[in-house]
Amino acid sequence: MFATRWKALGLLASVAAILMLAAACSSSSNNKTTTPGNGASATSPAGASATGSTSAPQQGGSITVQALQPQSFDPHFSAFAQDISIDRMVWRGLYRLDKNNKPQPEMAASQPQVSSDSLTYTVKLQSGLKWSDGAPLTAKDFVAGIVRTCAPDTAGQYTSFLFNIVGCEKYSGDTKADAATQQADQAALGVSAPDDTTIVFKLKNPQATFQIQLAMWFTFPVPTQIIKNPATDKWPDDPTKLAFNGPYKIQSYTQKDNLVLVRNDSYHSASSHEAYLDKITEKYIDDTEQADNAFRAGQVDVAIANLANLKAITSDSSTKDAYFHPSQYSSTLGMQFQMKKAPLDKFQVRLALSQAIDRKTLVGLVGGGTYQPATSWIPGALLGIQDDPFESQIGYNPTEAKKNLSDAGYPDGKGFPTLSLEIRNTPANQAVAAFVQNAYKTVLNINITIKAVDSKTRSADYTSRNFELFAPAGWNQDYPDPEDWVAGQFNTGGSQNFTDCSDPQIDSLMAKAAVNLNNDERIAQYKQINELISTKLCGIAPWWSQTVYDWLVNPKIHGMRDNSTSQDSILPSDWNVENWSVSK
Amino acid sequence: MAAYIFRRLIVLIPLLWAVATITFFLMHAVPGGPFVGEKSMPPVLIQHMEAKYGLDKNLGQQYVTFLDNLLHGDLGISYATQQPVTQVIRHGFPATIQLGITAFIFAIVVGLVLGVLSAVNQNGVFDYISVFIATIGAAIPSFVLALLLVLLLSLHFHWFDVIGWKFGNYKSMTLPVVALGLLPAAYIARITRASMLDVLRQDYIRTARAKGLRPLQIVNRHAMRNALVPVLTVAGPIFAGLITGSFIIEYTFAIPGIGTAFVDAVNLRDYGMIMGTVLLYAFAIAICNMLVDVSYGIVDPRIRY
Repeated sequence: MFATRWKALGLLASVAAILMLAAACSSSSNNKTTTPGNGASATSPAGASATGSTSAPQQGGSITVQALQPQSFDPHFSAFAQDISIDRMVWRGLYRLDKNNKPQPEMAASQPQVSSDSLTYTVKLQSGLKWSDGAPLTAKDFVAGIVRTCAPDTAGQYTSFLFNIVGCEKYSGDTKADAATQQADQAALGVSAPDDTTIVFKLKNPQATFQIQLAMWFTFPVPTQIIKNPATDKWPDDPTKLAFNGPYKIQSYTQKDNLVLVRNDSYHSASSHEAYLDKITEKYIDDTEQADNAFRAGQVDVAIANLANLKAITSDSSTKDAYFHPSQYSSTLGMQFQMKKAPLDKFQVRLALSQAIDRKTLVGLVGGGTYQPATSWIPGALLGIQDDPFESQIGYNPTEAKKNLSDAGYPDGKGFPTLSLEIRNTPANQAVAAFVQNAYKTVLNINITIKAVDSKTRSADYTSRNFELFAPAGWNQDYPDPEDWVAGQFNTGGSQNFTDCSDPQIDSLMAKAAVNLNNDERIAQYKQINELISTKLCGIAPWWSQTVYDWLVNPKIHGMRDNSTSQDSILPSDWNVENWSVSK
Repeated sequence: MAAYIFRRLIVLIPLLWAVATITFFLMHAVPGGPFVGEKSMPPVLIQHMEAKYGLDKNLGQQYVTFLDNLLHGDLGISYATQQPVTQVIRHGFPATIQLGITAFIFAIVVGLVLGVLSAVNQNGVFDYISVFIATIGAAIPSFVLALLLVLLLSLHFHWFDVIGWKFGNYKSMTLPVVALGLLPAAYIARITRASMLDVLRQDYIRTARAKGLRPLQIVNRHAMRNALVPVLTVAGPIFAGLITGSFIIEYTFAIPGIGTAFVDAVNLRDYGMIMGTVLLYAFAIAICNMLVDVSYGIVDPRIRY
């Protein structure tokens, strides 16, 4: 009887549970999912056509996109890609990069006037510009932006990009200087506003890429009506308390959850147009697999594609038409060598290590096969060359690899020391390391050990030169110019030359190219630099080029795929968000 | 009882100091710093940043500065976000505590019900069903369970949300709570079953039956309280574990809690955030253990402090 009562209770509980589930089932089938910003006009990913409408973009609508949690809303401090992505949606600089990565007037009225010695840039602003709060946007706000980036209190990771502005490098190092010294150094900065619509920049050396820098986030203006002292005032933690001059403004922000952007009616570009979408909601999802699931469920309209699951994505009816692989590469990765560690100082050893790797097979292991085998350090698009121009010299060739290793004094790998390959500890990198270890054993009969560590430990070893082989490693471009790919990294004693690459020819060419204002000549010089770095394997053996991400994009969204460039951060064409629209 | 609680609160002070000290020196001993990254920077910039945050001083000086700030309630700022650590924690803690408490209630209710059902129906159908559910909960890792639930209940049946957290909204709460709470529920069910079986065999229960009391009365009024003591013993650590171990569920369901902030802080070597979250967790665990000890006295009148 005792047990029977409990059995009865258990049965009752089961029936109640079933009834509750049935109620949940019927109520959920009547309601759409309701997490923030459910795109009213773009939430049916399954089976929709990928081509979209070819008519003019329509005004209105809203979308929800997956993004990564931003760390900071201060563009003068920002370093993470997700921060920079938002920065460019809500603020704009004097110039912007168009689809061909050429600077076009944005807040500026026209191209800059450059002095005959190329050391003074004078930029005229459009008149009548306003911040989103209605305050006038004037030249002093842009001066404040440069001051803030160079200020010692800011200590942003991109400050060095402005070191060619007179006084910036000295001012940024004033961390322990007294207030008077800091004031004096700030006043000596090579940026001024003689009137409300004129900004003058003074440079230390001619710089062909300076106008590109004026499109970057670290030169964005500061709303001085809110940030009175750009050098020392704290940037508000609540981004809704700021003012914006970009296509969108921040309406609300819930930390680690979502950010809502609405169109900024004060945005006035000299070369672009008002944004089409009314609202963009960023939903912060770190787990890429879950982001793709949220896309399938209609909770987000754009998600980063989980490349580990690429086969499922490209065959699933709810995602295959949404899958977008950008065409422009922004990263090159490969194996880095610490060239002061024997035997990596011998060119033939490095050549053998490069020729032992079958890049075509390797890229099948990582990135779902979306990566492009590469033997060029700088992406070919920046130099007008192929991505794999040096295949015959440093590409896969087991016979030549064995011969080169033998010529270096290690026939059949005899006497070759066991080198350490340091990797960031992820499943993908473990697979790459195992591939490389096997390739070196099979082709060259040499052994390498794998040292798998976390990101920070790896970075610390790298900057202290406490490594032998480092992979996959390389560069993700900050701005679309060959200069970004080499400056400081490959010149002898360069501030970021942790591989200790040292070649007099490279040094000479880099010194010339850095101050050469003739674009054809400087590109030719960078082509030579690239060839030297790649074919001499000076610190790096390139393996593959890759894009920043692949995405799932709801086919009802337009303007994302066709405006994607190598400057995409977290979302396709987040450089020119004003081009996004939805079909109704 | 009040004196006991006061004594336990006083003991918290040296406890938190010890945790803070060990954490401080451990995190500085780990290779890498907050300003070295995958994308290398000119060393001069790193020097500027270290000077700005006082990281160029020797470790002893940094420790003294840290302790002084801590005594004034200042946990410093997060190097990654430039926000005060207390502010970041304040933003993230509500979601973590909501998830933790809800999962805890789920674990207790489901665990107790399953455990009691098993015990009163020993070797019967309900016993086997309960054991089966408990084994599933214990065998499947929470992140695997989470994805299985999403695939089935969100993507296939569309009953619940894939991601997100809105307290009070069952569609966004159900899957994270079940994924997080099922393992502790399984554990509680097993302990409850064993404890209840032991209690039901006692002479006073036989006496109660002989007196003609109804079975429900016997279980609720006489057996449960005594069977709860072992459950209470594990409830405190379980609750602490749910609060501190929720980061996988927060990560999977994009819940804006403090768990992921803690993991990110460790990966980024964000010293201020690491200290803030470690102290918070230490405090939470200490309070939970104290509450468990206090609850013994409530459940079992023989225990007095």
